[in-house]
Amino acid sequence: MVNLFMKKKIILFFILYPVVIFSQKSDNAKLTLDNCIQIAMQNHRDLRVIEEDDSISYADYRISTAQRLPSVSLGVTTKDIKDEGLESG
Amino acid sequence: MPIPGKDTRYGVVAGLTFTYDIYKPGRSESIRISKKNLEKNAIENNIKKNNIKISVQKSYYNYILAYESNRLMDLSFKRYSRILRKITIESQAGLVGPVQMSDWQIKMSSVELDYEESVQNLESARTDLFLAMGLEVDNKTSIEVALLDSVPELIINENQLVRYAQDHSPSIKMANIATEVARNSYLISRSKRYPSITLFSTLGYENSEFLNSEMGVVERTTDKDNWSPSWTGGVRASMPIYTGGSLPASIDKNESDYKKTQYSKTSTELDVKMSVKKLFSRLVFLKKQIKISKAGVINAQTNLRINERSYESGLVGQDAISDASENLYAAEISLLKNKIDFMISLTELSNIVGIHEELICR
Repeated sequence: MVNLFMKKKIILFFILYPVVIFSQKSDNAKLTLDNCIQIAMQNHRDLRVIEEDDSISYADYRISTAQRLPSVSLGVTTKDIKDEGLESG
Repeated sequence: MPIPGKDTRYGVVAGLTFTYDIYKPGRSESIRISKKNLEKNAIENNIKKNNIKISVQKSYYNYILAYESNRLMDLSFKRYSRILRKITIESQAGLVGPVQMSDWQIKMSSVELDYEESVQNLESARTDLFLAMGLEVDNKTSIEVALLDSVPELIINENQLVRYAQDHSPSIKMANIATEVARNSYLISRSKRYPSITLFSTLGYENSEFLNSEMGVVERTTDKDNWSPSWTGGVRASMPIYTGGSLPASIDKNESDYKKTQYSKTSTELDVKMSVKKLFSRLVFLKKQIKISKAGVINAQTNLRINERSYESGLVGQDAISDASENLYAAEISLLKNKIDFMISLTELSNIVGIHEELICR
């Protein structure tokens, strides 16, 4: 029973060790210019706008290339029919 | 000729319609525009990313400058505090007159004001840096103060940069794309004069009794006998004959737009060329400034050492040491400002030309 408890503690230690080390490191770490640029490239709100612009222009491209392909639609239309049952146009 | 509704009955057809444009004027141009817009978007995104990078870089260097100014102002403030304490003791002992004492108090107030301003500037520069990174201001995160020991050397000349800019400049690429898009829009508007040919086919069921008033609505719609399989198909060709003048007006508008983009492209090329030349000569100028500033720092250091020795020998007073220290701080700040200005100008030049900084300086 004691062995099992010890095993669990050891496993927990190995799981949490990198987390503890990382958090200590990030507390002490000083941001260099490169770090600042990397953070900006991940967090800046303008980047969200860039992503949306990407989606918009790709969608526009798909819309225009679809012109080359046929389209199929389901619909109901009225039709002019001659009394004899022959189509008049 | 049968009159619809009188000699004929209205029926209804429900089914799938297949349509395919065999020939549609302006289709290829329209696809080309979309491709160009994709390219344009990629370049615009790159420009936006570079702007974020420049903004962070400027804020980071401003922070360093504010940090260093604050450090030097702190040293200055402490030095003046020490001197004032000494002068106060000497004044109480009757060794220093009230005029000299008053002079030092005025100097101390001025230094204190400058110091407080430098603290405020540092806070403000820190906030700006966090904003540039898109983060909330956080007091736990510390920023490394890299004082730019040296700046890289230019490895390219002005003419080479102008040539690189012709091929790689994002602004020129954008202007080329805008011209290409306007040209294709003009071609699309012109092609609208020509006929389009469409293949169509409808496969479904037809109800010829749909509007038969003798039958009930439910009966004429749901009765299986009223519905029969139906197929319609053919090729349709259409072209505009009269559009109220909108078609020629649209052609004229797009032609003018196209010409406008051509003029704008020429001025963009000229602007880029001028900006490259201006930034390149600024880099050359800043290199000289850095060299002179470095010499200024060495001279100010020597001057301070001589004054300190002279003070120890009783040849000069506290004033001389204070002045020498202030000169040294001013020289150090001037050197740092020139180095920062060089790095920011280098990034701006790299962005305008569209090549990596390492191809300009190493």
